[in-house]
Amino acid sequence: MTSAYAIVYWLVAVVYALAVGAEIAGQVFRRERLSRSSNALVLVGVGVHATLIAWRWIQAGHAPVIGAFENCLLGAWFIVVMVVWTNRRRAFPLLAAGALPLALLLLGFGGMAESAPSPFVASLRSFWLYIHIFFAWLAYGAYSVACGAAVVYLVKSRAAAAAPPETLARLDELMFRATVFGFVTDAVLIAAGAIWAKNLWGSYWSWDPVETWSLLSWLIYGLALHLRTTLGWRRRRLAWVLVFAIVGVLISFWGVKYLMPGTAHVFTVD
Amino acid sequence: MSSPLTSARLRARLALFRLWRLFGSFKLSVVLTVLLALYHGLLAIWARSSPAPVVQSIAGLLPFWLVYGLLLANTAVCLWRRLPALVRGAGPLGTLMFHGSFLVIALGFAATFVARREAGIRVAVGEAFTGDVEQWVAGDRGAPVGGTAPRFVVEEIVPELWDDALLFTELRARIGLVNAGKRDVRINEPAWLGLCTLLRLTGFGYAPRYELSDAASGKVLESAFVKLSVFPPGQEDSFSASTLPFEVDVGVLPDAVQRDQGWETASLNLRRPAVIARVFRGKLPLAAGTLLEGEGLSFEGVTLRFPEIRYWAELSLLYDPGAAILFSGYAMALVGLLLRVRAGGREARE
Repeated sequence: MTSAYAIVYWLVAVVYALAVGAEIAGQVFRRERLSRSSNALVLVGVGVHATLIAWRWIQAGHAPVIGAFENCLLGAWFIVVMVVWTNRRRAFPLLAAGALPLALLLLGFGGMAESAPSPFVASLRSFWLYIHIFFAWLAYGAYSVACGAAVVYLVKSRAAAAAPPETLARLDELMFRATVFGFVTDAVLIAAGAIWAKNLWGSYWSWDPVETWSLLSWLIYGLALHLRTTLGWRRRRLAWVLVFAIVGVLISFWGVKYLMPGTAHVFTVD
Repeated sequence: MSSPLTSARLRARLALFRLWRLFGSFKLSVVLTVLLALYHGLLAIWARSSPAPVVQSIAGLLPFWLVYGLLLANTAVCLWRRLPALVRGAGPLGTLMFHGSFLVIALGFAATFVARREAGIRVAVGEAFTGDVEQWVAGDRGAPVGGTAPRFVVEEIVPELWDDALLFTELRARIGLVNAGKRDVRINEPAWLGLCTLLRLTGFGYAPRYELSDAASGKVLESAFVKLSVFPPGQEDSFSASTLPFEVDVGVLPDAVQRDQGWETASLNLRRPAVIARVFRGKLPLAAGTLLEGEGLSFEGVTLRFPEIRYWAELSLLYDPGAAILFSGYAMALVGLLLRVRAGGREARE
């Protein structure tokens, strides 16, 4: 990472952090202007972040999908874009404050990782890699939105006087819809990964720790959906399940690399 | 008053009915899914201290399959009970397809478990694969499909390395299949030879051609290609001459340059190859040297040369009837999910 790149990279992180701060301050002090400025900051951040991705693409000579740095750069952008798209009508106050910390965490982690461009090695030259990674970030973005909405729900439903029931109902619906979207895209992620593994290793499933944790996360989200649709778990109960469920995603992305050696997955190749 | 026989029959029917109801219960699905999640969690933690084969064998233990088996039975019963809902539109159909796909995926897993076979093949550029015993990697001898292995010729192997580091940016083999045209096989792009059979490229190496000739007359006494495991440079392998009593230890420098310290390789690409050879008769060393193309090493009245180096490819012939079934299951799951989500969205709007 050149120093100019590093400056812009950390600037984006600072902009997102300021947006989170402004959103929280806007809600706490009831200043609409602060909330609006948070929105503007997020939009500026997304634009500069997209430029960073393009810059990296040109610099590395391939799509930024290899190694922890590139995955975090792209993943954080997907999360922020999904937050912006979900909240395009400003229907979910505080959503940015609930979901953007996950993007910040990714940016911070990526910034600490080795950032020298890696070659696009032969084993990664596959159409399925792009499908796998694109749907991974769609799924993780949706799960982050669901988790963010769940955190906001938990906060807002405690201060019952401050949150009108319609807001809570909207958040409840958002938690469900984001989870459904994440669940479907996660299914594509697992299927595309299996097809890629079949071509590369000759076996579509090999109990690699990342595979196991991905399946575990998918099962947990499937369970959350069934709890909501069949047993009627809604509102705070569903919110707690979704806050808990994101742990599986975090472990399959981060935990496996540090806690469980021996995974053959892409983001350990750096 | 009912007879004891009728009463026993009633009790049995009641037990069956309860079992049927239990297996059709959504609460059982929740319990089994939580159990599976816990099992997967433990498995993933286990992977921290144990290598993959250990984790794989734990994953193959009875409790794991028991929970999966129960969940599949539970899914099947739930599906059966919901069949009448099929007439109600795309939503229930989507739910049925999604959950039904688990059974298809399980069938794919079972077919793989029972029938998957894999065997390695080593063939050099220009060599025809005929299915001969010596062309199979040791221990893998014989066609894995139970029938005849495909016949082909490796026409070209292209390895490209990144900045002379041991990172392949391309590893491709062009094979000419008898009666089936030419195919490119890459390290993650196998050639499908049918619905269940594929040919993967798993590695490559150097196959130098050695030539032993009479030192006085120059008459070639013996010449052949030998497929050696000498990649990356620094690795050594050996071969024995077939008619003469010599053994040769070999290393290959793919891009040889002479520096103050001796011979080295400037890159990992095959540009100016040199062979480091040490010749023995039994344990007696006879000669040693680094030979560029055309250079010879003389000992006991013969001259050893390496006039040509080719690549050899390691290919893997894989037969897996479960993969196609499993991928159909994935497709079915996705179609089911999309139908369900689409119908759910429409219901919400109405």
